[in-house]
Amino acid sequence: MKDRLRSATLLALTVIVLLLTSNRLPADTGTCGGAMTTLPFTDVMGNIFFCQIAEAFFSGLTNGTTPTTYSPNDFVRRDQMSAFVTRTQDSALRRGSRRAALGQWATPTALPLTGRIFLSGAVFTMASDGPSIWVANSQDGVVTRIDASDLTGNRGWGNATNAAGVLVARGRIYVTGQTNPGNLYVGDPSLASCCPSPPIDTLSNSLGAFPMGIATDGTYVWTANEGPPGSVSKVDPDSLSHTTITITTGFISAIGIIFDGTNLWVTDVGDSKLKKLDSTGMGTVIQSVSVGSTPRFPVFDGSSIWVPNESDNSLTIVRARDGMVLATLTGNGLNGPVQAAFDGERILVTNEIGGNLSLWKAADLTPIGSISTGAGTHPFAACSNGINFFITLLNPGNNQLARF
Amino acid sequence: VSQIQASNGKLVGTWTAATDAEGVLVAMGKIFVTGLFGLASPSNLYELDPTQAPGAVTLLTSALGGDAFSLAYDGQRIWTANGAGSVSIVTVNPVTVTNVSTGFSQPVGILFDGSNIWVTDSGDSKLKMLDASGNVLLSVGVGGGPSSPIFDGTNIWVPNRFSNSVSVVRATGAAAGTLLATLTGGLNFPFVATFDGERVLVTNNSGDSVSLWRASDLTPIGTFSTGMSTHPGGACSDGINFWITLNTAPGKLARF
Repeated sequence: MKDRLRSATLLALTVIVLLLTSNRLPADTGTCGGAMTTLPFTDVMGNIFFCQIAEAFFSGLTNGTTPTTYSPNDFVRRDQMSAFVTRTQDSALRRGSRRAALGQWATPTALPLTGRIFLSGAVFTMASDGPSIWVANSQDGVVTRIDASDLTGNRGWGNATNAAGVLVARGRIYVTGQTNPGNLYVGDPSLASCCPSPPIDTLSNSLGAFPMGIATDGTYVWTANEGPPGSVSKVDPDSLSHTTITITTGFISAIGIIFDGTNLWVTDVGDSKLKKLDSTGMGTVIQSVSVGSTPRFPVFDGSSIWVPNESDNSLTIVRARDGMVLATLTGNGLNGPVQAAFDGERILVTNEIGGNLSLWKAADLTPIGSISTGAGTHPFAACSNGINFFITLLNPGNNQLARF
Repeated sequence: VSQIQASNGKLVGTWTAATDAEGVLVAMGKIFVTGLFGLASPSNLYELDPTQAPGAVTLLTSALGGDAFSLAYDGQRIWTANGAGSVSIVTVNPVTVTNVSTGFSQPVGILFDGSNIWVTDSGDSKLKMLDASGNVLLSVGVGGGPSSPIFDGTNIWVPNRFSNSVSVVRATGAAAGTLLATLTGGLNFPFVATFDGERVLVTNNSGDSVSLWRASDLTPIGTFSTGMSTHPGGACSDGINFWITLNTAPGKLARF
């Protein structure tokens, strides 16, 4: 009797242990990339897409329908599809960023006091070629290369009177000169030097009045000219005479300009519009999108254009494909927003009045946060080299370039 | 502390006075380095400014816990994993140090995943997720002797020196802390893991080799010899190449 009882007890214990452990044991296995792969699911063994299911699970794109089932033959609803697609995009962006390889997962909660250099004058725009940041110092008329890694360097060019907008393209550095008529300067990075810096070449001295923003469509260099009269100018850098055409029709006071791969877009503070130009290079306005008041320097994130509206403390997100306004963002520290930059994953906006930076996740427009740059710092210019953001702080006698 | 140009392998500069330099962290535009002097002695935290000409490093504090092997940055503060049984939380401006020992036996590696700090504890073979005060929120059993892990954007890869394995643990989402897989094969005293955006590399200190996996599906790419008696130790990536240190005489830095 005792033996029977002992056997029954042992059997019961064994069943209980098996039941308990079976919930914890991985289930189906398969061979992926030459290695045995085990998944927690019990319904994917032998599935021809076993390895794709494994990748989706290991990458965090799906956790299955229950802890132990994947339900490979179930239909996917549209809401589930949204989850899969966005998780996939987020994961690819997160891992594809150079910051992932560098282990830079943290977003500073304040602009570090370190990682800054002093500038001799105010810098309103700048651009990165990856390893370097090119800053146009309008006060001194110099254009300087700064190493993105350690913020050192002083090679560049002088005589860039009222240097304003900067464009890195075609192996050259193009800079607008805010004069009337406006100037377009060009420098060969291999010839940038110090000290003294050689004079920069003038490509055109017949741009529209007071050019600021600068972009290229791959063939021409375009500038947005504040005026009056407001205009855009088109320069052919390959022609011997550097043919310059200025178009005033449709513009009141053009400030920012970007190229989305197909069309040029111009912000016009005169009528608070974002204006899409024709793709044939004529400079004709083919669409006007109402944005906030005083739209300044926008950025294109590959899908949408982010327009900082300085006077009404907002950010208008416009879909480039059709000009639809996707959202008007407020809050998140917006206070005198002037310039937007994109690092491949996040949008940064400088708030000149607020003395802070605002960050959003580009994929879903969700706010990441607002970061103070300190009292009286007036952050203005912004760009990214794909790893860090770089901003300028405008403070007479204490102008700085900071890395974020 | 030496700076090497990644594109051509040239020595850019060397900073001195970083006695017993061990862990390195790039954060806030500066380079932070730990200096350790054994279990019983507090460790140092040094700082150098790469915008300045090479010289002596600056000693920020001598109050870290003993054997501060590695560092991480959470966007506000620097954290160190101290083998003597603690983590240190450091603010830089002004410098303050908080040492937390509750819940730790022998921390070795430390990383930040964008939300939480994670620590490998070789004393109890656990990967521990911490809150902002250093309290252990979650303990995940991994292999024996977990050392220097890496975060790949979704998962944490933990090299386990004593069990010749790599534990892959979900870091984010509802399944955070779930052990996804324990990888074996080709591993021999796996020491340091690193990630290049696509692949994970682990140095095999006793195996004189490095092992690579595809991060997205955990499939092995292979194990590659680094040469006899090279004892690969440290590893990092610049997003293009992997870089590993070989503990030979003299020591070498190799690009992979």
